Amino acid sequence: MMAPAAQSAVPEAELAIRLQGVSKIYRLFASPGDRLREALSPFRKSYHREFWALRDVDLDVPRGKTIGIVGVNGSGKSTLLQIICSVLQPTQGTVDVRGRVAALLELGAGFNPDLTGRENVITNAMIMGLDERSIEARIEEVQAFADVGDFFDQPVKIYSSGMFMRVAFAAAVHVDPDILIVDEALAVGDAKFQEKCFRKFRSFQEAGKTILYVTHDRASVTAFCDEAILLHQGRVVDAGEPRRIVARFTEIMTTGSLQINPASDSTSALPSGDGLSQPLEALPHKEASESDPKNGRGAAEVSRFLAEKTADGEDRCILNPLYNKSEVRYGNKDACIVDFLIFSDERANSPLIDNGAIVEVYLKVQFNRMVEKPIVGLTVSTGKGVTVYADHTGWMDLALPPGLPGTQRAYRFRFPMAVAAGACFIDLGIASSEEVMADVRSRIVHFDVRRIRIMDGLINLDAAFEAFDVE
Amino acid sequence: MLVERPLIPSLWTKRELIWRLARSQVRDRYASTALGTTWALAQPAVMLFVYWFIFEYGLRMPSSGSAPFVLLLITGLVPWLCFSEMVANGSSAVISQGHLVKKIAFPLEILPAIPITAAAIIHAGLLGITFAIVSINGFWPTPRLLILVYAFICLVALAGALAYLTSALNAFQSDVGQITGLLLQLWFWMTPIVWSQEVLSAGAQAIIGWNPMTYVLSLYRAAFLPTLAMPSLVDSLRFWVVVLPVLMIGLQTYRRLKHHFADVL
Repeated sequence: MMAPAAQSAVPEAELAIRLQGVSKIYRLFASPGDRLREALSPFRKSYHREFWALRDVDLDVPRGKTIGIVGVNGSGKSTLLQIICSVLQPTQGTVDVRGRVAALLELGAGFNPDLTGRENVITNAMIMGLDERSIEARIEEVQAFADVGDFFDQPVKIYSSGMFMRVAFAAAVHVDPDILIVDEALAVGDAKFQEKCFRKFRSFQEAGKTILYVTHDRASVTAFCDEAILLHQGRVVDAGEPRRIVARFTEIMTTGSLQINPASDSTSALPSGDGLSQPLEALPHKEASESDPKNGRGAAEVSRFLAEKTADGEDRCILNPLYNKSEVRYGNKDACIVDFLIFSDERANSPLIDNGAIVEVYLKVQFNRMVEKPIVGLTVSTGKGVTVYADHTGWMDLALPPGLPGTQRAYRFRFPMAVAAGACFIDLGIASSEEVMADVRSRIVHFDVRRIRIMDGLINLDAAFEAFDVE
Repeated sequence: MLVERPLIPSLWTKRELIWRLARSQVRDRYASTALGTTWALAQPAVMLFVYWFIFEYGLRMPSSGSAPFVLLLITGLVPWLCFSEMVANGSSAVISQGHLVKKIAFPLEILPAIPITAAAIIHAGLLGITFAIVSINGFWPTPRLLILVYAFICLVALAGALAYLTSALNAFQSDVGQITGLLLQLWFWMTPIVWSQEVLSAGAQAIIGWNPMTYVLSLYRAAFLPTLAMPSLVDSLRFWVVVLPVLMIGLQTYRRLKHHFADVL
């Protein structure tokens, strides 16, 4: 059971990890020199802007529990793990970690390519704080687990990436940790090795070790974890039963924000300490605007977009940060696309959009001549030029009101970002009929789509899955 | 916050790891070469030969009466090379190991100690060769050779102070590494290695006397060449008056900045 540190339900002696009021503020400096000046300044003068990667995190992890940590990219998961394994220092608050921590943040980060697998395993164990004798006692076991045969005594640089990962994983989990921290590391190796990793994982659980598990793989959270916590914008916004946490996480991923919906279950002690009950209510956008200047202004930018008429002959598209200079433009200019705006995840014109997020594409059209039956269209294509989706209002059976000369109209397309990951281009077009193009701006919009979990293919169909017993 | 452990005791508890990483650093450098660590000796040998040839035959430097020029040269060059390698490699000790700093819970306090130890390993080899050359030239070892232990401690104190200081600053501002390289070159010529102190005026000698490396070199030379005078107590006092504050500043700066390394690299 997780509980806020302030009113801890966990007896002191059974704690593995306790964080109290932990915040991590990244100081954004104009130059590295400013950072040095501030660090050494005898007058504590400030030279930075602040970004809160974590804010007031209270967390008690009891010994022997497996805790899943979920949250969208940039929610602070990695920062939290780095603080727990003391790679990073918190800016505020206290961290109390009891026992040896083995972190699988980046497998084989400390490996030297010129040394053999064996030598690297020994060095790695020493960095973890083991002495030579206990390393010798363990090396056989590591070798057997890694299962790379004679390669174990060859330089790591000649390993295949699979072998490298196996040795690195074996080295990391065989230092007899009390606390294991896993950051999606299990997505490595072939199926056989993955299965082995999960078995090791299970044996850790059975041995009563504490495990922190960060992942985007929602299914493994419900399958594995005793409890889960949900991080959003640097705060622990919810904690408790994995199934419920995963549901709320899914909600954040699909809508881009967390609704005011603290559907708490009674079986789990929600974090309700001082800093925590409030954020649940206060979470949407206003809170975050301090840390991210763009956030929250998105909606305002949309209203401004819809309210403002562009000056005659002005092309505002080229001022948009997502504007692609190498667009291809053609048409008879009876009507012109003069401005566009991409709204997603509460942001306007964000260069990075999560897969699955709802995207709103606004375009503004200036009518130069009378267009009786305007048709507005868009095409979504990948960086490699594969058309993922092409559609227009004619095909949608929508009859738009005529465009009068000298007027401007704004239109909106709204759809979920199905493209799985990578560069994404959008074409915008306005036509007088299906044959007569007024203004087509091909590949005018460019942004990147961020993958939200591992999968393969062009499009994320986000398949639902079920298993049935067959008699 | 974690309780801060004093730096030097924590180096001692991590000595196995430092030794292991230093050894592999030496090995790495020559790993792909056929001659291996022999290369570690080739560069000083060429340097020694060039300086000896230029100064003995080209410029006809007056040999000090008490020992041949070539022996003064080698007993000065060997500790200098160790010093400059410790400082130069030390200054990049943090930035060159960014993956350790950022990705794993690495004991950061040992980072500069690794290249220092690596340089000391090569130094030990060069000292052996120096010993052989000096002996062949008729300067048999005396108990004075034990001074080498103290001389080495002085060398490491100075080099360590600068390595810790520059490696920490270098992580924030990589110009520090370049500046360190430049200063080392200047320093080489400000130290009586290829030239003799005796050619200077009394005033200039007093100034050069404040150069801590002058003191370290005179210890090395006195250890190998018994005909040379030992540095005076005043010299040794002057050395520590300069080096101790630098050492304190160096270690303190490192301690204060090391928590920021993962943020800046």
